[in-house]
Amino acid sequence: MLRSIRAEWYKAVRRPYFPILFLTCTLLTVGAVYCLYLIKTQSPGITPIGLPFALSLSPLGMVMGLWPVAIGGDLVFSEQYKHHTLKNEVSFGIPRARIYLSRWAAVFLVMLLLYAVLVAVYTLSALLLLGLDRDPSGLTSGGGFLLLGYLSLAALPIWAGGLSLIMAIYFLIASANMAAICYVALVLALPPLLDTLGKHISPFFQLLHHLTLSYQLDLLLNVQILDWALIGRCWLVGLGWTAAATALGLFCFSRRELP
Amino acid sequence: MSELILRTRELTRRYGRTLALDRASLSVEKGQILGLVGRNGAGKTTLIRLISGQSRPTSGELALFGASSPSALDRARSRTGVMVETPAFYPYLTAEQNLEYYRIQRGIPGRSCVDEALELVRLTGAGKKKFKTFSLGMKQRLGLALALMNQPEFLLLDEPINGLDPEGIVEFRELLLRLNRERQTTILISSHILSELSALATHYAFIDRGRMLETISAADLRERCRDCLELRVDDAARAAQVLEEQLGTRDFEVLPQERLRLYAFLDQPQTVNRVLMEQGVGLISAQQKDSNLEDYFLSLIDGHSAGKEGV
Repeated sequence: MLRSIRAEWYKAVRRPYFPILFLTCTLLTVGAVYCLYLIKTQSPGITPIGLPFALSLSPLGMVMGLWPVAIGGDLVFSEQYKHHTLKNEVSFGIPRARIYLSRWAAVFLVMLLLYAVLVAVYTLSALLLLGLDRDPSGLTSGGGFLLLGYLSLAALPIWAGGLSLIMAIYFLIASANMAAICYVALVLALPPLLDTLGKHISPFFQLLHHLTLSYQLDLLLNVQILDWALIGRCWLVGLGWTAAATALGLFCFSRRELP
Repeated sequence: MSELILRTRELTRRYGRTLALDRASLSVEKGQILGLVGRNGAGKTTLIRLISGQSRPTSGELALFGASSPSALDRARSRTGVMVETPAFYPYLTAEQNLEYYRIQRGIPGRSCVDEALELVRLTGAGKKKFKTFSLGMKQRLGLALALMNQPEFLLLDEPINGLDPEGIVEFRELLLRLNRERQTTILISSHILSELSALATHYAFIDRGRMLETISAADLRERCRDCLELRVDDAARAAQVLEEQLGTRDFEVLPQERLRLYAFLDQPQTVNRVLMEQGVGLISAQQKDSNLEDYFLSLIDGHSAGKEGV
């Protein structure tokens, strides 16, 4: 298994896609901090904007985390069906479960690295551009980092659930574009649909809505205090999606006729 | 008895209503070079895909190096080298990087095997080039390098000389013969170019419409393809009896569609004609033949089709 993960990593970091993804995300992160800097310098007195304030906005980043996993999945997996490369591995006798899980693990590692880089870039650029001005709510830099850590802990399993979902879709649908569209539809359209059905047809749909990944991340938007029950729930839902999506993806891939 | 590398029994693959492979039984022993001969869509690629695990059989048995359970088959496949249809690689990686990726994945020790494989297929100078810039011939060579990288005991090659230039074909043939001679590598190779197969194969398997028609050694095939007098008569069974009793020869074979192939009396066709006529056998035609692999294959599938129609 480790060999396969190493091989996937070897391949992923040599794609031009890899530096482009990291560079784009880094620039967007610096751009977001620069916007805060513009607000701070051009509209002084609205609110004291410093590193603690920037850290207090981290829930927004957590919510957006479901989208980079789709790009990370594409970085590691994309066009395997188009280039027919999976047939090589199967012919070498590499079990299909190992092929599947090694790609999952490689995307997970790429995403962890991306997250670490973005947090570092965000913090550093906020420190350099915004300084250490105290947040009006009384949040200190230490408190901001604590909040970031807490939110990361809660969001991690949800992102893993999203990653498992997109990997299952990539393995099921040969076209990378169609797979991405399906993922967006499931993540974006399914929760409001279940919500509406829950309100008008049966409360059961409401229950399902509460088990969606997006709903869990939305809950994090309003978090200001450490809520271990919420973290527990995020882990339960995230691991549930991870297990279900991986089991489905593995089941279908193990029976799939390779082109 | 030689070690059995591959054994299929009643192997069947159905795609919807299409029967791509119909109860194919085949054995390949260690050291053999088996040429798989068949028309387009005959089931050659389907058979190789089933052996290599890219496709799963609808029914039937498959054993590789004696292993037949799914997990044991996976382990056995690590001892094989496979090239099925067009070689598949990552276009954005160089030839070296592509091989290195698979080397890591397969756990082949030592980075040197990548260079050795590239050298073996004469691609050393192109190692740093991206796969997407390769010509078809270079892609075929890289596919072969990948198949050979782990020093396989069993090579499965599906139309491997497609896209190779004449020089490349000769080099390729010599390479396979060398591997077979020096490493005892067993090879299963399919090709449309029958003359090329006949320069390599020690055995042949003929396949048509998903059915395995016949497996035969190259020596036996040569025997069957020797010069002969092909007779078309109104009663082949009676003609066979006449040849035995009147001309005292058993050096002939009876073919479908009231035909016989006579390997004796080649310089006396008139005698044969006269004796048959005297015994009341109607001779429709007599033709001197020196058949080759191509003729043999064609007569085999003709006979098979006629047999089917007869049924």
